[in-house]
Formats: sequence, structure tokens, C-alpha cells
Amino acid sequence: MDISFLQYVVNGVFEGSVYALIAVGLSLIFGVLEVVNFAHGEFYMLGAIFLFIFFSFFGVPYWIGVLLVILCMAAFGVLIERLMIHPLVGKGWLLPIIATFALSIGLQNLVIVTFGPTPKPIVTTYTQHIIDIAGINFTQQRFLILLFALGSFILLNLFLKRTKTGKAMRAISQNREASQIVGIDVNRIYMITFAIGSALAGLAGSIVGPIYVIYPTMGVMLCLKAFACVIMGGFGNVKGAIYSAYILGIIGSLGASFVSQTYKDIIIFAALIIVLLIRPQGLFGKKVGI
Amino acid sequence: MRSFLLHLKEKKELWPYFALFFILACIPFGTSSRYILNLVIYFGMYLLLSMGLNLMIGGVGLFALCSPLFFGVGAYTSALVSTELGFPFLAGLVLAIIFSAIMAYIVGTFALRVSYHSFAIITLAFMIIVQLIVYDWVSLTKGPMGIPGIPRPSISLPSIGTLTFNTPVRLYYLMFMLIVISVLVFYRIQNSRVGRTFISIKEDEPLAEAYGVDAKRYKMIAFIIGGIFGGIAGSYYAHYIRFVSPEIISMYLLTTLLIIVIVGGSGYLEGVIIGALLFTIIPEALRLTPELRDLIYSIVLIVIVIRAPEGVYGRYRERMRRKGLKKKEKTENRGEENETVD
Amino acid sequence: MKPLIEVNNISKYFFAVKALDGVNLHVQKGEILGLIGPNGSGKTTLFNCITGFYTPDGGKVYYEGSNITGLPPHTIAVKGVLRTFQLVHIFRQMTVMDNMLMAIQQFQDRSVFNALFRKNYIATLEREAIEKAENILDFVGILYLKDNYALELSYGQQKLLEIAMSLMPSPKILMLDEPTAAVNPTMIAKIAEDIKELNTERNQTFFIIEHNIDFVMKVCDRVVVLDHGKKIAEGSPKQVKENPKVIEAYFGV
Repeated sequence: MDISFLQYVVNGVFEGSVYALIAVGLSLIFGVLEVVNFAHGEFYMLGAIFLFIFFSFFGVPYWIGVLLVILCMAAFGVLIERLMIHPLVGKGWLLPIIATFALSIGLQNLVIVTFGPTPKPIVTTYTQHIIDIAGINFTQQRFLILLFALGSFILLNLFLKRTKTGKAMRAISQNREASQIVGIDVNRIYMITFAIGSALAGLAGSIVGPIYVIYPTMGVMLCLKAFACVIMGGFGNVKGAIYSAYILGIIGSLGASFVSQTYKDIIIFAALIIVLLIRPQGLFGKKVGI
Repeated sequence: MRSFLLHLKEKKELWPYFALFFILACIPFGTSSRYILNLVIYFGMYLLLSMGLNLMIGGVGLFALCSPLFFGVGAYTSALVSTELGFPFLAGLVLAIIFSAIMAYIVGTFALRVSYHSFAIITLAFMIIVQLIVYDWVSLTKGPMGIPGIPRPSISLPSIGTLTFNTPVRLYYLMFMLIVISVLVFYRIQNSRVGRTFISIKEDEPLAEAYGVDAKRYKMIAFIIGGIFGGIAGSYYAHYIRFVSPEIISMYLLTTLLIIVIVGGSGYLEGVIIGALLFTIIPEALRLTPELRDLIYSIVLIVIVIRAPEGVYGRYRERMRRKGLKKKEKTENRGEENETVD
Repeated sequence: MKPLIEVNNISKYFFAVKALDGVNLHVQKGEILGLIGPNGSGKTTLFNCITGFYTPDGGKVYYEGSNITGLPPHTIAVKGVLRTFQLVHIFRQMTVMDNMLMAIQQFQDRSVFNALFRKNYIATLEREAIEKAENILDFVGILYLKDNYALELSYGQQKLLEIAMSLMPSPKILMLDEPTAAVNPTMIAKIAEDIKELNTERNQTFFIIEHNIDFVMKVCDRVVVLDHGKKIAEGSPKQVKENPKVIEAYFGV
């Protein structure tokens, strides 16, 4: 098989991992809170920014930095949820979308105003080392994305299936009222869900950040693509979102190589639109619950 | 909250609007300051665009994020046909309307198939994609360099002569005419049977369907009309600034439009006028960098959404309704006898 | 006599759940047909399949002899099939009068062009509609509320508005989904009275989903019983009430 073709597929898998990390958070938040978090791309961006602060600025070791980012983003998620989301849950679908859209714009501009718009690089040891398998090569940092993505999904799956909180999350996503009647503390679960989603996005930011430069609007296109994954996978269907993420990642990568780099994003959205034409409910339909 | 009996209303209801028109018409007599004329012209463009967005969000309940797209389509259409093809202003305007309607139809065909959450995302995606294409398709749009040298609008009537809008005052009155026409059109749409139908879709779509409303069709109609408003604003912009570039399809514009509609009061023409006034004047008064301005807008938007989602005019309307209710309760306590219920 | 509505072998699945399984029934013109059954038996699903809100996975629906299966709800509504929803559904942000006008406007003239450009013609239609609305509001007893916003009405008044709205377009068949749910006994009696009056005086056809068995006994000419998506009984109210299968469906297990 043509080596470059495989190389593109592998690149696509890495890209898909990033999409998946963001899309999973989006899907979880929508499934449990029925809120579309337009600012999710900015959570990813904040993850990268926090990593920059801890790692490049304060000189904290990389892995501790990543851990701190996860904690910070989880806390940030709780903050946003309490301040903005909680008052709006149950008030229809329009208000939360407007609020999170405003949050997205606000976070982007906040970062521009405080840090300035110039992109900044983050250099870790992993970006320097290249792995070479049978002619296909990628930096260690990229491979880390795949590792962390898969690891997160496995952990998340266990969490959702085995722990009480996870089961509560699934219950709420299926039937909010029944969950309340049964005694589940819905408010607590909302906070936890949002925290998990934010943490995943932040994690993605801290691992992907070192690969490219970080800049305030780095989350915008990514968020749209993550949305494409969520829509394609069927809103609220986490597994569907993950599969779609890898599909779109590979399509995008192949498209970029065979057509043109500039049109890569367009190809991804074209794929989404074609899917929507045939199946408006997404490839994997609408599963009830996570 | 309003009543839709336009067809039976007397002309008296329109007097606040005529007062507004009168004031706008008189401004050039009161001042020759280019700065002020320019400000009102921008108010007009924001007003046109927000009326379109308002029709989508507040009219049929579609959270559309692609108004700048229609603005861009209108602007580029006028720019291209006047510079490349030498078409006169009116032809360009008509073509701008046609093309923004077509673009709205295309976006709507995809976006209206999906749930309302996805709708917002798809409209945003279209806006970003078309902006990318405009940047990239240099042979048609000249890419990031933009299209310069767009002529001033001029209208030629066969026996009477040519009127060219090349002074600030003339350009002002051109915008004034556009404002008057659009406000009247929007007013009629809002307060008529069509307006009633739109609100019924926003309120309770299945119920509306059960009473014979083809929701899909009306949503598309609202979307296309909204797009046309944007296209008209874009066409004027092209001839006013005399230069278009892909940057005009911008998130800054989108944020401003959203805040106008939401803070002013979504669903009401009065709200949009108030919002457009507020958010044309305030940024000028404060002189902020675009980023700081948008940051403040975001915060305001979030606060308003949480505390007063119906907007300034919506709040006012609600207060009026409650006052009217209290008055009615005082004079109609007898009516309670007829009630047999809880 | 050809039935007004004929439901042939309708089936509807939701993933693996069979909500409706080969249901056959018909509604005669001028009759009041009741539809009862335990919760989850598929009653509202059947309504949705008939009125176009769901497309059946199997079977056909006929109205006045023609096939309406799978047509969109607004098309079926305009043909004269009007349905209400469980719990009160009205347009809360509009006045009572606007609600009434909204109920009829798609049946009079649906053209957007006319609504925008032919003001006088539409004004005439509106005036006629207002007159009709006032009559109906009076019949139902809430005429004095006509300028109030719908959300200001009490639950019972909203219920009456809902009924008033459903009468505006003079539908050929009125399909009511649990009209007496959460309503107090006096109001229930009034609703029963109004339905019977409309039926005897204007030959209005009704198809009613209900849980209130007394109401069904009093009002309906004929009753169909569903259980787990299947029709298990059909006949006069008395026959159905004494049918052992029906008793088992409601009380067994």
C-alpha cells in the first residue's frame, strides 16, 4: 500500500482524536444538561493557555502542568455552570445557546485583551522526538494525543457504566424528571458533567497545544468540527460522536492531501452536509441517553 | 406580546414611526457634520441587518448566525456587477436582493432540516465556509485584497436625468429611504396575519401545524426575508464605503447584531430600533478597541440573557401588559361569577 | 355509509417497541367515538399517525375515502381534521382573540402575498372571523376574556379556549386528546354538555381519547379499546365496560 496514503490516514486518526476529545465533552453536556456549549472550543483554548502559563511561564514539569490544567479546567467548568448555565436550564433551548455563544466570544476577546493576539509556541520534549514505524512518522506528542484520547474514552466508559455518578448522568440524559423523582441530585450531576466536559477539552488543549502554536481563536474551527461530529453522530450520542470524529478526521486528512490544504475544512463540512441530506438525524441516529 | 390586528388598525398606531422618520429627515438640516451623518448611516445598516435577524430569532424562533453572510453576499454582488459589468446601482441592488435570497434559500434548505441546536451551528458553519471561499476564489472576488473603486450609486431616469448620490447628504437620504421602506415593510409583516403565523410557529410549532400552518415553508420565508434585509444593507455598504473585502463577513458584526436584537427586545420592531440606537451610539461614545468592545458586549449579553431575556422593549411591554391587567381586574370583578374553575 | 376516517392495519414502531400493532378502526360521520386504554397503550400514537405527526410504519389511513397516510400535519388539518394535544396547548403569548384568529386563518386564506399586500381583502376576512370567534367564545363562556393574553387565563379558562379554538375552523372531525385531564367536575360536566350539544345540533363528529370512564359512558356513542398497541374491544360504552378483556387490561397486573 502506498506509504503516503497510510501516513495521511494516521494523521487523520490523530486529528480525529482531538475532535473526539472535544466532541465527547459537548455530547455529554448536551445529553445531560440539554445545553449546547458553544464555548467548548474556548475551553480547549484555555487548556492550552493554562498549560502555557504553568509549563512555559512558571517552568512546572510538563505532566504536572497537564494535571494542573485538568484540575483548573474542571474548576472553571463548575464556575461557568453555576454562574451561567444553572440559571438557564429548563428555560428552553434558545437562551443557553445565546449565553454560551456570548461566552465563546467573550473568552476569545478576554484572552486577546490580556495576552495579546500573537500566537505563542510551547516546546516540550515530545514535540522534538519523532517515532518512525514502517516509514510512517509522527512526533511523540501526536502519539500522546491518541493515547490520551483512547485512555479518556475507556475511563469515561467505565465511569458511566460502573460508578453511581456515571449511572446518574445516564439516567438524567434519558429522563430528567424520573431521575429527580428517584432522588438523584440533578444539580450536583450537572456540575460534575460540565466539569468533566471542560476537563476533557482542557486536556486536549494541553496535549495539542505544543504541536502547533497557541492563539486565542484556536478553538473556533475545532469547535465547529466537534459540532459536526456531534451532529453526525446524533445529538447526545457520545459513542456516535467518537466514531464520527475519527471518520471526519480521516476524511479531512485525506481531503487535505488529495484536494488542497485550504479546502480541508470545507471538505469536512461538506461531508457533514451530505450526511445531513441523507440522514438528518445523524449517522448513528438518535439513541436515547448517553 | 402584541395583537396582530394590523388589517383593522387605524393609522394612529404608526405615529411614533412617523415621528422617527421626521426626526431622521430633519437631521441634515440641523447639522452638516459628516460624523453625525455617517453615524446615522451606520445606524441604518445595523437596523436593516438586525431587522432581518430579528425576523429569524424573534419572529419564527430560529437562532441564525449567518446574517453577516447575507451582508457579504449583497455587498459583493453590488461590488462585482458595478465594477466588472458596469451595471447601474438599482440593477446591482436588485441582483443583491436576488442573490442574498438565493443564498438564504440554500442555507435554509440544509439548516431547516435539522434540530434547532444544529440549526445555529449549520448557519455559523455556512458563514465561515463562504468566508473561506471568498478569501480563496481570487479570480472572482480578488480574495483578501478586496474590490476597490466601487462607484457611487446613481439612478438614471430616461427623460429626467441622472441623480448621483455623491455627497454625504445625498447618501444620507438614500439610506433614509431604505430605512423608511424597510421599517414599513417589517411593521406590516410583524403585525399582520403573517406575523401571527410566525409567532405561532415560535410559540408552539406542533400546535401551529395542527391548525394548518406549514411551518417549514414559513420558516424558509422568514429566513429569506431576513436574508434580503441583509443583502440590501450590504449593497448600500458597497457603494458607501466603495471597497469590499472578505473581512466584512465578520464575527464582530454578528456579535453586534445579536446584542442589538437580544438587548433591544427580540420579536419586536421597536426593540430592534432601540437596540440599534443603543449599540450604534454607545461604542462611538466609548471609543473602545474592537476586542474590548466585544468582550463587554459578551458580558452584557450573558447578563441580559440570564436576568432579562425579553430585552428592554420586551420588559416594557410586559410591564404595560401587567398594568392593563390590573386595571381590568379592578373594573371587572363581577366577571368572576362566570368562572367555575380552580 | 362510508366512514369519515378509516384506519387500516396501522403499525408504528419506536426502535424495538411496537407502539401500534395492526390497529383497525373507523369513525362514522356524526358519531362520538371514544378511545380508551391503559397508559402506554398507543392512543396518542394513533392520533399522531392519523393526523400526520407520525408516519405509520405499516398500514393506511383514509379520510373521506382518500389516502392521507404520511401526509404532513398541516395538509391534513386543512382538509378538516383537527386535533388537540394532551394538557392545554394554546398560544400563550397572544391574546385570546388572536388565538381564535390563528385557529382559522390557515383555513381561510394561506397566501403570504395576500396577507402582506391585499390589506382590505384580509381585513374583511378578519372581521368575519372575529364575529365567528365572538360567537364561539360566548358559547363556551369566555367572551369577556377576549382581549386578555392567553397566559393570563386560569387552567380551566385555557381549556375552554382550547375547545373554542378547535371549533373555529368548523372541522369535519374534532379529535380531542384527553379533554378532561386535570379539570374539575363542574367543568367536565360543561365540556360533556357542549360536546353533546354540538353533536346533536350540528352533527359534529368527535373522536376522543379519554381516561375518565364516566365521561366516556355519558358522551360517547361507541368506544374502541387499545392495549399494548392492539385493539382489544369495540362496541357501545356499556358493552365495552362489561367486556372481561377490557377489565383485565385496566386492572390485571
